[in-house]
Amino acid sequence: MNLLLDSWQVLSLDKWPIFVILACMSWGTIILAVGLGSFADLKFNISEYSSLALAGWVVPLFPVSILVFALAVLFHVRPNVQVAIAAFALSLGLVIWANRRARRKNPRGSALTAIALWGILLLSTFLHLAFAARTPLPLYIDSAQHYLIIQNLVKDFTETNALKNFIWPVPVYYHLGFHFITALLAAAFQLNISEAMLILGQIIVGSAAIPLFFLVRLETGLDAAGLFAVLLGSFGWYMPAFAVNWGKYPALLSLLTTQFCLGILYLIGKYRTFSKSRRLIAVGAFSIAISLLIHTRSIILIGMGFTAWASAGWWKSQRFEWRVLVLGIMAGGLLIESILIRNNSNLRPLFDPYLGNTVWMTGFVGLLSIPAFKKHPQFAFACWASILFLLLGLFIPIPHVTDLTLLDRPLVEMVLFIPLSLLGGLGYAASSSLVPAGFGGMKLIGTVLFVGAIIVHAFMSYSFYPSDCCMIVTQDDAVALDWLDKHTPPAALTAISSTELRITASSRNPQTAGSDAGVWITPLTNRPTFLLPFSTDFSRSDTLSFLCKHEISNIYVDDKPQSFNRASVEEKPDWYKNILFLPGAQIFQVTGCK
Amino acid sequence: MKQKRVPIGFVLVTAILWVAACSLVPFLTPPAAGPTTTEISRCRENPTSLCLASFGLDNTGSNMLISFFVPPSSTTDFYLKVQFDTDTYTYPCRAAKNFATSVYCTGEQIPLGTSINIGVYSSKGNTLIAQGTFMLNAIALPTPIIVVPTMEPGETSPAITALPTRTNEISTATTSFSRTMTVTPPGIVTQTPTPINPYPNP
Repeated sequence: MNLLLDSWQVLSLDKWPIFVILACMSWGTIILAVGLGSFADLKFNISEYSSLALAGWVVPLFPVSILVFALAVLFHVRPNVQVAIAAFALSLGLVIWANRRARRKNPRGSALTAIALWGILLLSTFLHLAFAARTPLPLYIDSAQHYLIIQNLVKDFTETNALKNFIWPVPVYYHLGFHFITALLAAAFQLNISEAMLILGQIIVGSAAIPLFFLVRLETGLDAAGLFAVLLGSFGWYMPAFAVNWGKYPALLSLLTTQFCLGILYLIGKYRTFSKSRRLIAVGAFSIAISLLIHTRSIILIGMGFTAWASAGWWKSQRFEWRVLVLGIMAGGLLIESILIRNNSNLRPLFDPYLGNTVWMTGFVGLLSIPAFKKHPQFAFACWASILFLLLGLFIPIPHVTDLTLLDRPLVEMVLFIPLSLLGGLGYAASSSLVPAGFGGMKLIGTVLFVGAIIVHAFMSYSFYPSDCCMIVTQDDAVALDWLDKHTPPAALTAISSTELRITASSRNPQTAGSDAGVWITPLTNRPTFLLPFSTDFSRSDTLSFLCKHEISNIYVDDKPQSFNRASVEEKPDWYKNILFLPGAQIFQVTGCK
Repeated sequence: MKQKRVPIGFVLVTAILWVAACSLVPFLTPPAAGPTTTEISRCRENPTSLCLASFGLDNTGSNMLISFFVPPSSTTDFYLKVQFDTDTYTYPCRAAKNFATSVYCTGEQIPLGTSINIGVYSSKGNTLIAQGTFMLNAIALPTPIIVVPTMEPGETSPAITALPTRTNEISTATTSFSRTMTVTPPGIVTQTPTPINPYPNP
């Protein structure tokens, strides 16, 4: 009841951002579907096209954002609503007109399948909108960084003298693709940045599993198997949707582009005619480049998917004994990796989304993978090999970069649903082929039971709301941040608490990041901050000397598990004056400097 | 034909869900707000209507600060009339920038241990939107003026977190943004609590 009401409320209050983002998504999807059909001479039905193109809708949008950015910075052309709508409509009209002129004939496909696919997309997106009803800001520490980068880009988009006052959005490269796209939406359509991030995030989450249809449909030839994989990916586990709680927006967006690139690579393998594959290779290379800009590690994911598929091809061509041996080695490798992960405190949470109260779902997929291996051996092998590679990526260090591995725990946790859902879809197709002819009713009942089980599970244990774990900004923080903006000088330097990010197998030199609502001071008030370890003891004289030396004038004391210890600040009333007190957030002024 | 049967299952389930959702929505939509006065209470978890979030102190001007949760669709343009004993004070309110659901009001500091009546008035038309009576209590802390007022009888005070154990670990640092600095502060870190995994699961 509340879920529907909350989704409805977001839908009615945020009509404009929802409309804009859905319109851009539809634009990218249509441009890509029509363009792919003409350029690479593909013939798919509406469901296949839409599932593939929905994965790659940012592929045409990203170059547009770069072009608009260049026009804004170099030639002072400001993006605005009218021009954006006209440009989108014109390009859409041109592409559709060119396609009609070419009189291309695509297979019709099942209208029911298309309705079901779009139904799942709309339902999933609608339900996920409820998330935005309970938080005014995107969650966790990453979101503050994303917000700041987008804010800098929006300034570059809209400043009258952008080239002269150009703000480099970020000192070190940080997945700029997501930020460029969100900044374009915010600047051209006058969207509030946090609203744009929240809504875009939920729409990405709602559509993250739709591309699964494409690969499963093409491999099995069954619409139902594709739809089953989509449903499994959408509601089977709390990942990837939970990643919005971590503010992992670029990684979420890259889930789509990664699936698009894998779809194109699959087609390249499938169509061996030179002219077709040559054009697909061009599309694939372009898409991989864009995916790389959206999230750097997506290239590793794509590489792993490709390697898994290639090794599955090799495996399939081997003698039976060899195949069994390789399978045994793979199972052993997975077991060893699992043990290593369970014994590493940084990586241990990795399996939570798949082995917690959803263990039966994962087990169910495991069971389905047995018939999948029988009927679709190469694909099923590739799925398991992908899981093996994903886990392996957690332990392979990147050369010359301290403490970074090919993949990190949160990303692998987010991505594992893809091979699992694909296996589920393949297994569903293989099992339904076991039903003897003339027992169609049984197949229908089985399908409704399968689907019903996933939906019941979703309604019983799936949360569409922000998790308490990651809501670092409370009502008191909102007041404190606004108060800080109003009552402190623009140059006032505020100390905020920080912690170590231990998300890779090694923990020798972890990165440092803000650990409470203090991370929002710079994005929301444009005041500088100074990260100090959350365990800093403010009652020590060397700490005071340090603060004075760096001209830190305020200390932001929050009430999160990794915030500064308030008692150590309050111990020295002569050094620190409490200038704002709220039960959940305090600001102290450093008064003890000579 | 057989191929079409299975998608029918999906269509049926999806259609049933959609029909259920759409038919429920009109009943779930709250009625349009009228000019009635509502009772304000302290905010609970995930509030949906106007409620009092917290009391605080703005020590730059020795003002009391009262913050409210405001539902997204409601007006944030209001002020308070705070009554205690025979005196009535007006508190101007301000919507927190970037937070559509947060409004805070500042005004005369009121002695602790007293009962106050808060009236929320719309700035346009000066009509009373909501009101409530609260009790101000104090908790003495080592600093000069720290006040945590609790409102309604029977409410519990927030849990006190245990202090972390002490070691001499010093964290490393990286620079992330030009307006956010991080350095290694040698010698000032003396407490290392149990490490918490970043990006926690629910």
